[in-house]
Amino acid sequence: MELTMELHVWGGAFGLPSIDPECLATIAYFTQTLSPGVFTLIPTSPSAVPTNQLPSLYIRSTNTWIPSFAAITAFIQTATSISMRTTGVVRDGPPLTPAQKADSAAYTAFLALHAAPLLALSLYVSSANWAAGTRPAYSAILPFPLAWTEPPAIRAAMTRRAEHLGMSALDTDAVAEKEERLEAAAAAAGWVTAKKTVREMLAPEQKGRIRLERLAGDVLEVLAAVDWDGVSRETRCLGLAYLALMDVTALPRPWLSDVMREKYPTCAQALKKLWAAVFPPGSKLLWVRDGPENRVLRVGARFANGLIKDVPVFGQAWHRFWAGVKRRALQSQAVGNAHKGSVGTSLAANMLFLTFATSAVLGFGSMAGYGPSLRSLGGLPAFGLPLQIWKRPLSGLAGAPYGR
Amino acid sequence: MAAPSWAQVPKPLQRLFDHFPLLTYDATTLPERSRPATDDTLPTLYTFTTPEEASLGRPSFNPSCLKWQTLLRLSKVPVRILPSTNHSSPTGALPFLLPPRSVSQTPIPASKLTDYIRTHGRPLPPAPVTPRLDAYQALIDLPIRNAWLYVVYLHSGGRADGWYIEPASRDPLIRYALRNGLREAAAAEILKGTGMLGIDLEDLDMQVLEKRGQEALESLAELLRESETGWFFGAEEPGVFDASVFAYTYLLSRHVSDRDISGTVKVAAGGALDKHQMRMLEMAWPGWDKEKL
Repeated sequence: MELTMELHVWGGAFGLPSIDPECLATIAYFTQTLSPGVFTLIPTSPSAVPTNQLPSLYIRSTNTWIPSFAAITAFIQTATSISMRTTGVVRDGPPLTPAQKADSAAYTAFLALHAAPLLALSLYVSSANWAAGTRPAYSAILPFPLAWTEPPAIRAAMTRRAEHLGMSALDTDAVAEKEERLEAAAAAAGWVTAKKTVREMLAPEQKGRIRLERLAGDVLEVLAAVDWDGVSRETRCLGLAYLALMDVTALPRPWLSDVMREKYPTCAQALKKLWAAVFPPGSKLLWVRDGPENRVLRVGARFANGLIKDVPVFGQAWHRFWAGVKRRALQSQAVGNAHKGSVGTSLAANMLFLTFATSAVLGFGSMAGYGPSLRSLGGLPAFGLPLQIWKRPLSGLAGAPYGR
Repeated sequence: MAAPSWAQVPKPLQRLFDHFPLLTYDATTLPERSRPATDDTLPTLYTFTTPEEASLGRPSFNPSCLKWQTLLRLSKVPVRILPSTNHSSPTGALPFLLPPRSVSQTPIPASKLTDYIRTHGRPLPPAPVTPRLDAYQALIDLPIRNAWLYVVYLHSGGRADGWYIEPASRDPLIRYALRNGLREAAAAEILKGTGMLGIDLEDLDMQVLEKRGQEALESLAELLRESETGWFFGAEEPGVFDASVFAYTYLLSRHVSDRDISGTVKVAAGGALDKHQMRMLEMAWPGWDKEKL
């Protein structure tokens, strides 16, 4: 039986095979355990796969989808792959002691709980890094219109993930908006505004440098003490992925890689060693870039879905419904493999039809709703100007009506 | 001097108020059940619990409340337990501690309780200085907590209804709304930890959550087996980490005994966690009947 596995992952950025730590870890795991010919990598986004998440593994021969790093690595290890193991397709690592297994589980949980929010702070929350580094990277990964809808949603999710660290000041977009509003109000009221102090002119990353260093130190201190040879291959791959993304220097404010290189050289060295073992120079990954998920209609459907998702209230309900449709199709596919082709095609057609029908209804509805008000638009001030302007009442003896 | 005419009360209103004079009643006294809480000499720990269990000082059914309740008992700080909800807490989360009225009126949130214990009771053993502590703490905070959220809040036979919904209201509509809110909050917590974008909980394999929790418990049991003293990290006395583990192992083995994960507590690493849990009970609730706790 010829085995072909398609690994659907986020595409590469910053010179790394993938921009997402779990996807990167899965790629690292595959290059170490499987011989090069048995799997292909497909750069995509969660909206294109029926599992709604990346990484996802698709096995063509059995027509099954497996989501998440943990489930994929477990699948590679289990009985299904015994035949592959005997033929040398899968390479096992040395067995672990129970204590090493326990340590591996602990470090895996630690990476997900602490390293991921820290990484989110560096790549997503920080406005400067997002605008000049991460967002352009996503634009390069995603096919044409999707770069307008998907990256903001990713950033919102990552910001939620890093919320508890209390560094939302790095998101200068939100702060700058507020400041502009205040300045405009002050100017309208005729107040004199003070010049900015040196501290106010510093970038938020510079102002919060001490706290950022402490947050990074809390995580890197633990990672620096890990014996990477004494943990499971899964944990090693995850560690490699997180460290590699922390070490990205092609950002306007590379504070995380600075801290790592200056204060925790053990981490930087471990990363170098692990990287050389997993991706030796000259190694090549087999990418397949023109899959069916990039056809114009499919991309159009994904784009329309991304737009609808942003509609208040309705968007959420629609998104749930659509995810449910995908999920049920996946389950019925898993049951009746005989009709796999037809199920897949009709599902895509149905989704596309539903999406366009809904967007048409929504678009029409909003036009009908706004139509009458369009006529009065001429009388409105330009967008962004305040509609209500508060004027200081005249003070002084002459103008005081309540003084007597 | 007579008031100017515009400042006088109109005659009809004047007559009305003569008939029904404006009267300010005295402030209503606090309800009888809250009296002991406000004027006694003991600090009060507000936790998720029932009035009956609170009056007996029995363990709370909420892991984070139980952790701090255990630590306060271990360090022999006498407290009164009162049932409460998140709405009453200044930080929005339970537990919090209110010192005796005569001492201070400032509530102490859970994050400051270690300091309070240090100044008011037998000090806790210092936390071990090892990076492994943070790693193993992550096991409690992520996979074990997720498994708890799943078996208690999301699973159809979970205990959350009896603990959090039924005491709050008898109205079926309100219960329905509360239940949905609670479930959504639990699901959001689990999804936040995965960092996945806009996926539903149905996209996650729920059984996996419990399985990850079981694996995490096994890892903790393995760590405990390394220790010669029977407490985590070879400490002489149980500390904060022991209490965090106990809070989950105790609740898992008492309240979700129909689930696989409860069995894991019993058997992992030759029953190491189960023995640890029993000895913690012995230390924190000495002389209590184990069957009744």
